[in-house]
Amino acid sequence: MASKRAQAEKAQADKERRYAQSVSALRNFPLIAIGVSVVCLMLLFLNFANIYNTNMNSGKGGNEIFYTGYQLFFAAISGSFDSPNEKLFGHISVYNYHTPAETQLSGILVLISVIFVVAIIGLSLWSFLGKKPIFNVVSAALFSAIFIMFTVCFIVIKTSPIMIKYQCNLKVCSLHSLAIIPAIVALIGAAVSCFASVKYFIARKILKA
Amino acid sequence: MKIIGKFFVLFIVSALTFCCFFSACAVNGDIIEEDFFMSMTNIQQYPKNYSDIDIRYDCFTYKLTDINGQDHLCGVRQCSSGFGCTCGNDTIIGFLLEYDGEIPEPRNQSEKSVEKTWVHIEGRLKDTELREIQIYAYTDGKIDYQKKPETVKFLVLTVSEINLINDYQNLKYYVTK
Repeated sequence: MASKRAQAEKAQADKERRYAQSVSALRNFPLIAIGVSVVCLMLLFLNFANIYNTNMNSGKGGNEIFYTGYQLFFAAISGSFDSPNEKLFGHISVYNYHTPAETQLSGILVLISVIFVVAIIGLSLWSFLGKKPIFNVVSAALFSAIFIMFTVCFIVIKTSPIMIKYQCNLKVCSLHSLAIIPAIVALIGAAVSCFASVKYFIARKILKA
Repeated sequence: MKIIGKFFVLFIVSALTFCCFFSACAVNGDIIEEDFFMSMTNIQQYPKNYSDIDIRYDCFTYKLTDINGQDHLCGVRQCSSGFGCTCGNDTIIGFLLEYDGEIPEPRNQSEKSVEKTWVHIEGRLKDTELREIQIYAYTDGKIDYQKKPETVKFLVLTVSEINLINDYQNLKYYVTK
């Protein structure tokens, strides 16, 4: 009887040791999530929309009107899509004049994405310091949402009818967006967090077995 | 206690940051030279944002004669017809002026030189409707009747004060984005 109990205790201790081993292997994943999130935030300095004109600066090409991800974020947080303040909002007011629905929708998407990125940083820090690998699952969900939102933002900007209204008959301008780059980075973050989540669920099965 | 103090400082700093941020968002009626094109474009695109504020700017006077022979006095600067293009299709950007007093007569208005009648203007938008004026196209400074008349759109500024600028050498008659 005593040996059975000792055996059970040993098995349980073995399970817990294996679980702890598996979970400790996940320890660095929150740091990766933080790194990816910081890269995402840095990539908001890219032009989320720009109209390139081949006939600027005395015949040389250049960006005619543009705004970065942060300028879109600031416009969304303040509701100032019509502000002429170039430093804070770039040329969002011009885009908003021609295509208000598309500009404001992409602003809202970027605003929510930034909130999610900040949430991932907070949760990952908590996960790393508190050794709570369950938050990898939350990070995976948030990264996936960010990927979708940046991708939708990219599509909305690229397919907006601004060129028809803005360009008139000139064929020297073209619309570009780099919003897809943070989307790709968010996808990498989602993949890493998903991998960590799967490893976490496998580790939990050890305890339940 | 220390933590509460830190949070209080953080709260004050955040509040001040937001105050600065939102004050930067507010539209301003002072049009400076560096932002002339962008500010004028913004006023034309969102006139309702400027309907209750005083607008102040430096410009030169310009006489537009429509296809019916009627003269319209404007306060403008020259610019490219496109937002940032250098296609050579230059135009003017500014307001149609309404003033109880006398608006200084334009001079050298179409010449590529700073030697024009420069004024400092203060006023308010009369309304938020753009006036359409049909003008003949010009070729080499003369009316070209072969070309179709062009339609130009202007907001009307009710001028409350107008002052002649004598020292205009450093002002730009041509503005870009």
